[in-house]
Amino acid sequence: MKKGKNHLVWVLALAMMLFAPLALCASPSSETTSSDDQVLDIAVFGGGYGDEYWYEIVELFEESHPGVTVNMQISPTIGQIITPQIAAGNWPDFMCCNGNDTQGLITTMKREHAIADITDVFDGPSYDDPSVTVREQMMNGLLDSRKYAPYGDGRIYFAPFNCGPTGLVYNKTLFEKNGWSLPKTWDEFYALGDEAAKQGISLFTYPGIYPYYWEHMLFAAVAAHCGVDAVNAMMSYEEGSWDNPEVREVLEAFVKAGQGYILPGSEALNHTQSQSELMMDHALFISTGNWVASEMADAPRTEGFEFAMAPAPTVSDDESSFIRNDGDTFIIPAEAKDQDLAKEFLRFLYSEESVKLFAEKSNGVYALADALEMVEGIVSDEVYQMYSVNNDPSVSTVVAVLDAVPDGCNVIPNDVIWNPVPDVLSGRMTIDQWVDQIEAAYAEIRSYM
Amino acid sequence: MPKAKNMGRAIFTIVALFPPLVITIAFLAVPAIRAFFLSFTDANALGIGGVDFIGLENYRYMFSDQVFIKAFVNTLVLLVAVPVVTIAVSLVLAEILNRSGLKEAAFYRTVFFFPSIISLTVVAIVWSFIFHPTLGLVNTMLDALHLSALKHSWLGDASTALASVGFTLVWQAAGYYMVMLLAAISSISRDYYEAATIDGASAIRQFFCITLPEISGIIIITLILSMSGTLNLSFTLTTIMTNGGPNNASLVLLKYIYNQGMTNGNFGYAMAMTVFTLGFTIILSIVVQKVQRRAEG
Repeated sequence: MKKGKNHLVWVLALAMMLFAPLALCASPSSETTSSDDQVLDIAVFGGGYGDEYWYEIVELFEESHPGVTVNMQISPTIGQIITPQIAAGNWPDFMCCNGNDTQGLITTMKREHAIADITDVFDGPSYDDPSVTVREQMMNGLLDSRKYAPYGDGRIYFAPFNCGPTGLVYNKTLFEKNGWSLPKTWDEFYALGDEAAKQGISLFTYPGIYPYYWEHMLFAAVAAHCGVDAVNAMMSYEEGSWDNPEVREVLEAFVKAGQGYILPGSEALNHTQSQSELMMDHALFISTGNWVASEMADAPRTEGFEFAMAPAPTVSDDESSFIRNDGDTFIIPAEAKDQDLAKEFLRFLYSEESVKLFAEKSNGVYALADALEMVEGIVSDEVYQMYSVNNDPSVSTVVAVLDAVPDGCNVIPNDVIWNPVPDVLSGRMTIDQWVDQIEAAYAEIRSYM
Repeated sequence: MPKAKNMGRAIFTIVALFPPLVITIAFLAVPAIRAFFLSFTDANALGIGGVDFIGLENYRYMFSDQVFIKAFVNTLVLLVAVPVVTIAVSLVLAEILNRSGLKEAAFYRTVFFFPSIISLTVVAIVWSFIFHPTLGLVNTMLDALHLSALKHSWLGDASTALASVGFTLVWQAAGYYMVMLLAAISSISRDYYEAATIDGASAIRQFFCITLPEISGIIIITLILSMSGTLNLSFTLTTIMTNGGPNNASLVLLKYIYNQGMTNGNFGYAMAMTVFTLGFTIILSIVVQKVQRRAEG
């Protein structure tokens, strides 16, 4: 009898051990609240900007909206955390997504039309001033791009969060010291490259391990010579969007960099290694984004080093210069339980209070037209300077983000476009072969549309 | 009473088997079977938008996908070269440590074993700096030896990237297998060597005629272990050191599966490649065993 009891204890203990982990998998939204209270479940990508802003903004939202409770999950690997929850049918009401979607979560949601149409938020009143719409608050030209209106029908599904310039980063001090002015055309860039070579400085360096960093410069260069529509055609896999004479002129100008203008060994560097080379003044330019200042905050640098951002080179002098803008986004899943509350939260995030808090806590800038003005003196000088390129009237902005490939298509467009670049720059592959490969992949993608 | 005792033992056995059985089924069998079925579908990362059965389409696509073929060839090269070199190096090290009667044998044993207990991520980062084109130890040493013509940007050059990753794999694993082989070698009876010495056999002759045949079973096991290690570890190393580049020159199967499944959300296709990889490694280890049986006659 005693033995039987022992067995029972064992079985219970084992059962508890087995099922305890399952209990941990339960959705965090299962907290009980009284019936008139509203609950907002949000999932936030907590990357380089840290957590502090989010904890405070959630608190402010709860204070200004009595009866609302916000349940937040925040992590640098938020995709990994919420993917199983979503697969089990527990959708968050609001998501803050990282630009580089490592789990394929956002790509899949976009592809499967699992994101709510939030055009009404942008046509509605802004949080601080009801006479201004949210659309009018935004940076110019942003909402028309396929990054935010991904299906080409003008309806907005992605809301801008931060949106900062990406392009050619350089050391302002080095230029001032040598009396160099910023080149505009490709010819001027290469002339400066010849000049700098006399001091043993290369024109460009790049992370050969991650050649897609060139996207920060190259798409803006295409926009300058061929127009924004040409870039959009590339982003939506149109036939001949790469294989046309105008784009080819840009590619030829770019590939000329391979003739001795690139820091030797760059093809073997990763992003931080190549950024370090720039900061040691071994190269004049690197194609990367505004985040480089915070990413490399602790890296060694030459004396007086100061980050600055230049637009992409143009083919001729009379073309206007372009800079690419990129940033993280907010979405409301189509399956969100309380879309209205999520939309209210989104409007709240665009309030002046929130913009200033983000600048104070995260040294970041919201993608609003007035944001840079609001945060002057709050963000660091380096960040302010890099974002200022957006306020330069002679520089236009392009947002270049590839469309999600259609369902069932196995092409990875980013790899097809960028992986050959080290070979093209070193001359192992011709521009024709590169362009043909991209066009073939685009044709395969189109066959699934 | 014996009946009750038997009964008690049976219940205990069932209870004791239950946890590992549930864990194996839940975390090994079910996912494996699910992966097998998903490989015939167009499933995506979230399981939304419906999962359609598409038959052998993923497998058909696989063999027309140039990137897959490149990744497969690269993996095959690593799977053939790395285990052979690793085991050869560890055999030599083990034999030297066993026979030389060095006083510091224990010290060397520890030092050689060291790489295999360092986190693989650390190994990858350290070696990516050793191969660094300007600051790296390899190129600096070549300069010092007046061999500057041999300098390469090792990880950025299509002709050396895969070999550099393979070299790191050998360095990382050789000490581990050395310890296993050392144990096997020291269990061989001293009498054989004494008899061989009396007959006038050289140390090298003894190595090939006594040591090798005596431990051939262990060698095969270490070869198979090294193969599965190479398959798994090549993912971490290439992800950090080369990201599969330049232009897929060092892309391995596991990395491509990850890119398709995790970056692109193509679960169906990723599962098809996983099933293929599984089948391929099973065949490979059967072949190795068959070769050993034949060698043993």
